[in-house]
Amino acid sequence: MDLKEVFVPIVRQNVSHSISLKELCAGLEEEGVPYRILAESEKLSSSLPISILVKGNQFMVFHEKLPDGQSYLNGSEGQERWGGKNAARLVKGLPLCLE
Amino acid sequence: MAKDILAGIDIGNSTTEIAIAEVGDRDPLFLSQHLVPTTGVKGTAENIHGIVACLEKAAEKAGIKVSDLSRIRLNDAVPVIGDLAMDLISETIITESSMIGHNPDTPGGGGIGVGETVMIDELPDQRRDKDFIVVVPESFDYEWVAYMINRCIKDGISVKGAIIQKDDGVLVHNRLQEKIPIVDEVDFIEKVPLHKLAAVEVALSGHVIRMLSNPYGLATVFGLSPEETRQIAPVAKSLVGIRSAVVIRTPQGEIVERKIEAGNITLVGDKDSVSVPINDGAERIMKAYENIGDLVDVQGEMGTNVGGMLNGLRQDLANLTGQDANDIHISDMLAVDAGIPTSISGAMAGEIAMEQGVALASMVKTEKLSVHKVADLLQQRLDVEVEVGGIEAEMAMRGALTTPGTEQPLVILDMGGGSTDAASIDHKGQITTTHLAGAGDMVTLVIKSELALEDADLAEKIKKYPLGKVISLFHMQLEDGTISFTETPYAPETYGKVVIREDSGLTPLPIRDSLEKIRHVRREAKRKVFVTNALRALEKVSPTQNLRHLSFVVMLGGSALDFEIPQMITEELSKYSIVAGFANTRGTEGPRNAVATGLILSVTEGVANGS
Repeated sequence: MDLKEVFVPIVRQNVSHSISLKELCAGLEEEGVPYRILAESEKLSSSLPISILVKGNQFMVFHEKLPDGQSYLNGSEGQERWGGKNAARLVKGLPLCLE
Repeated sequence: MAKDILAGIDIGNSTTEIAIAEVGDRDPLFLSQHLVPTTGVKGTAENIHGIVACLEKAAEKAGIKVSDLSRIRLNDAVPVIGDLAMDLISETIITESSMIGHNPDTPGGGGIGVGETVMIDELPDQRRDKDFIVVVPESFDYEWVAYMINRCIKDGISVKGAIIQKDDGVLVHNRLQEKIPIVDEVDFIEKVPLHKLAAVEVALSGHVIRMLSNPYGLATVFGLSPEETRQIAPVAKSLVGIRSAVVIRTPQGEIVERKIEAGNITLVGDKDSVSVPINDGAERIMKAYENIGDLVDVQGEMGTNVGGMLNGLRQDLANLTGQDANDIHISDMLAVDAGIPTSISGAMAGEIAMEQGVALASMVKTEKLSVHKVADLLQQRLDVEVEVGGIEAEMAMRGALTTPGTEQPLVILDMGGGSTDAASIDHKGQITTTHLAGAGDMVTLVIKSELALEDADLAEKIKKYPLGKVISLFHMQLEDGTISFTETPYAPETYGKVVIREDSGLTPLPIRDSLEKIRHVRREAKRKVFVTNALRALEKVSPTQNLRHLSFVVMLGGSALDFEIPQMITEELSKYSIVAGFANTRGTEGPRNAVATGLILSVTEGVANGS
């Protein structure tokens, strides 16, 4: 049996240097939600419904209950902290900070 | 007899309503009805604009042209105008201290720390025999801050807490070797005084701070004398119930004590005149009002809060009616207790405290209100005969009596935006009327104030629609606790939030109060205004001043359309064995269109009587 772990997967796909993974992670850490940075090829399953894809200079936040490929939140460079924070707040069921 | 097409027009404080009917030798045949917001103050030339727009729409619905109308009948509008005012009766004034008290979602650590405030980059130069609280503006990165604090503590500098501008509390805390309480998201960090004694307290999640919200806790932390403890007590009061706080002692501080007396309000009646300190609250004021007979005027003590409030009110009413401020005599008043959001002097994160206040609705009689002038202007504009037909209460009564299941004697309760009007009709057709201050607009004002909303439109929506809370992408909790499910996920703007469930969609609320709290505020505002006014109004129009002698009460007006106000009144009046419910004019229109309908019916009844 697969043992599932609790974390938000952050999947990297040709990540541009201009986007700050550190800030994305800081957003999640400040809210107290665990995360793990994964390469595209890694297949680790999490019991959390939220995942983040960082691609080029964009990031997308996904929810497993949404149709494949449809993201719930999007952002680009400069919004990494915001993205991490709101991904974490989605996990916790708290209102998002969208300003 | 030839068939005439008539229009009945009711110009109210907030809406203009029209009914169009074909009148012949038989019962009138109602063709259409319409309503628009009243333009301008009722009884003034500005009304024409709204009336014409409304008439055109109603005519279109009836399949006729405005020029096909043979006659237009206007109501003789009630010559009263209302206004609202609100002011504080108490205020937290903080001297000799500054404070931050707020609920960031994620403060760092827990417990209490006391020390002297110092800027983070000056920390390494501090003495070794003192305790410090570091102050961190947003230009500093959390990793550097954590590194700096760790290094300084290792060097023997005692750091007891931190105040951070950004949302970095947990990030710094996670990187500290020795844990300290951290308050973050302090917007106005530049206002934090440096080199002053400060205390930082953070409670564990789900708890509230205990030391800084206790006057003796503050006395212990700062070593205060009984006199100083008395002075700092308002700080403790304003920190009750929150999760993190900072208090900074600034002896001989910049914040000067300011005190304006709340003052007395004097109710002048035809039998007696009574002065009540406004500090005693709305209930005492309304109690005093019961004992003075008919109200002649209301005065506020000069140079006090209430004096200023009543002067403002008088000036507003003078502007509205075009009368001199000295000729304004308040003919009715409703006082309601309401929390008023007030920024705390000495607060540094934009905190507000809910202070005790009172909202006053008042009503003046005015001579300037001229429906006849409006009628003349309308006739010129449309080239259709316009007449002023009868007293408003009488017309409303005729309209209300078209509600199935009603008969004389009857009381109508017209709950609008600006006033609550009541009229009773007895067996002989004798009509008694009253006009009371306070209605839908006052409810909106109280909701806006108690929830500290900046936007009056939002308060209006909270008043009108039920709430929900989005609890997942697909689920929403409703006010009754049931959960509704959607197939399309809720938008990110609404996720986790309390929302207003309008027919057209969801409006997320920008406040953090719980659904239960917002619902409570909404219902209490409605109860305080409408249930109070329903009882006051019925006592005034009841022939015996005894509610138990009334049997039928029919509610009319915009607020009778509310999803909960009529039920509240039905429930309250059932205690007096009164059958109360909202009208259903002509069996189809609900609580709308009663006056407009009455204007048309009064003509045909005239015909039937052979005139």
